[in-house]
Amino acid sequence: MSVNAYGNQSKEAVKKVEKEINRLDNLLSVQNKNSDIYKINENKCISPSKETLNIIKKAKKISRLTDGAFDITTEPLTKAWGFSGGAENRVPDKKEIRNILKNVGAENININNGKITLNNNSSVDLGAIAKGYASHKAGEIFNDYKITSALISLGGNVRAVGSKPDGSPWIVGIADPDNTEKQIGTLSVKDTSVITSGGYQRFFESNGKKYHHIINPHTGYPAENGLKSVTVVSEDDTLGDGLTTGLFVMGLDKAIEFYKENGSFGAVFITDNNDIYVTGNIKDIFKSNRSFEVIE
Amino acid sequence: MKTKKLVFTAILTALALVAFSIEAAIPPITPIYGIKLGIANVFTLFALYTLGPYEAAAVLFVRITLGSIFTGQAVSFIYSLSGGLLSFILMLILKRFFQKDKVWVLSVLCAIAHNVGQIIAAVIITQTFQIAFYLPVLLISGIIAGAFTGLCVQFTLLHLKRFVN
Amino acid sequence: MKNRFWIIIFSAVLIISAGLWILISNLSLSANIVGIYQNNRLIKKIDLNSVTEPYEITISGEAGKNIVQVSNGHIKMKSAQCPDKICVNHGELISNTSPIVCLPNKIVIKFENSSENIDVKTGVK
Repeated sequence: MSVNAYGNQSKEAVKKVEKEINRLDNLLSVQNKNSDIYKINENKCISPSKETLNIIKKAKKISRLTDGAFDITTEPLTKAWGFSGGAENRVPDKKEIRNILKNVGAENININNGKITLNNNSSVDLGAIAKGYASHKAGEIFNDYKITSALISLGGNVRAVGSKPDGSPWIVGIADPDNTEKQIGTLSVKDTSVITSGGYQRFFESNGKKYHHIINPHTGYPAENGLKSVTVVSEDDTLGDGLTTGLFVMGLDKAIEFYKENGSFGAVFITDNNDIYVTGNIKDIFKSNRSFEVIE
Repeated sequence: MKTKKLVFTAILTALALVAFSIEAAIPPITPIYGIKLGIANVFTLFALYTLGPYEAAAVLFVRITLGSIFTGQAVSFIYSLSGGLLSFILMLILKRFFQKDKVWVLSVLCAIAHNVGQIIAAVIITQTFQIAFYLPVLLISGIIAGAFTGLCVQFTLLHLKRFVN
Repeated sequence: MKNRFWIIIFSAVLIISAGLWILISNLSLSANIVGIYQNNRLIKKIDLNSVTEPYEITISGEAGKNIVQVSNGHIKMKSAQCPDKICVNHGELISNTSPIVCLPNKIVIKFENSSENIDVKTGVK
């Protein structure tokens, strides 16, 4: 985590942001026994804080929007693959996955009068949008402090508040999936979030095959749709965070279709062949030394 | 006397223009911009030594303006002007140190200044610093071309003593 | 006597320049990303290594049309309507010490730098 802010009261603001991020981590973590999420998964039926409720509502909305490509009920799958907590990575057998899949899908979450009810064998994990929500809250705190220049990076999720102190846009590099020391291009942004999801971020190898952490809720297996990473530029951090996962699961063709229907975000796609596709609405702020296609 | 000077200035300008136009019509011998003999400079230098600084200035700047119009490129006017300006300033400053038997030296120095001026203008206009890497080549061509035009003037001055004064 | 002094000076400059030029010409960069600029604005960026089929790009400007020819690993100005044709005579772009420049149309073709300063990186843990 890195939080940098410039201007009056920036120190106080940064302190408050760090406190807020810790609070949210405690509230939304799937492992922390005092978190709302842990309680939901344990008891299957609770009335969580209003904040948690709203995030889950938003998650359901993104699920609907992406036709289930993004889904927070993949928790049992992530667990089975050993991607949650300190578990050992393993390839679950087909039968196990088929069984788990029966309880995966946003329809397994029922929200009624502030109460959340999960189907008995379902559980949720907000890992795919919690960081986005946290960076959104951090941005709000900076706005409260009237700070016009700050940059937040939560494990590679970036939120730009205002511009650089000199007024020029923040330059956000997009990690090269083949070598994260390098970048495949940069985005010049002001007041927006830039979030990347990619299979290269967490994976394990078994019998010579790579298995990464972005599980396709429809198949139960790591999404293999021809993409190495998806970067989403959005003013709505939470949505952006969810969409990186959703678009990654969809694959390039469906993601392009999705962009054409709901173009309220910008995206940079890197395919398995290392081709780069950039949506038309951010083509002017994207720079790369490699050639890239613009999706109009 | 005044009329005679004016007529000479006009003739030299016209000759410079002819030389410039002919040179512009010849395909460049190298792929690098700015490498040429610059025969038109013979007339500027000649005017400086026989008529005076004002007349030389007239020959130079009228030639650059009309030459750019005749060859039809607004941009090349800027390059010619920046090169011409720098070399002319140097010419005025250094003229007193070089008598008629050292015209070629002055000419070389001015040719170098001219090429440097053009490079500076090109770097500024295209915002491409790499153009400055042409400097060594343009130094070489400046020395050769400058020596050539300078010697032209020098020999003309020596042989036209009567005509000049 | 004095003439000899100047001849020696100029000859020295000539030799040094020639040496520098040879040095600079050999400093060709391995990068293969080429940027085409017009009026200081990047109008096209090409990774010469990823070109499979040769193609041409037409650029219009005050002095008419320029046609750039792109093929795998190579780029050159194929034709120009300006009178001097210096960019065409330049041949292929081989090093950043000599970019292809068309002054009449203010076109510059050069290799791009491979790194840029960034404030933060996304997509890393």
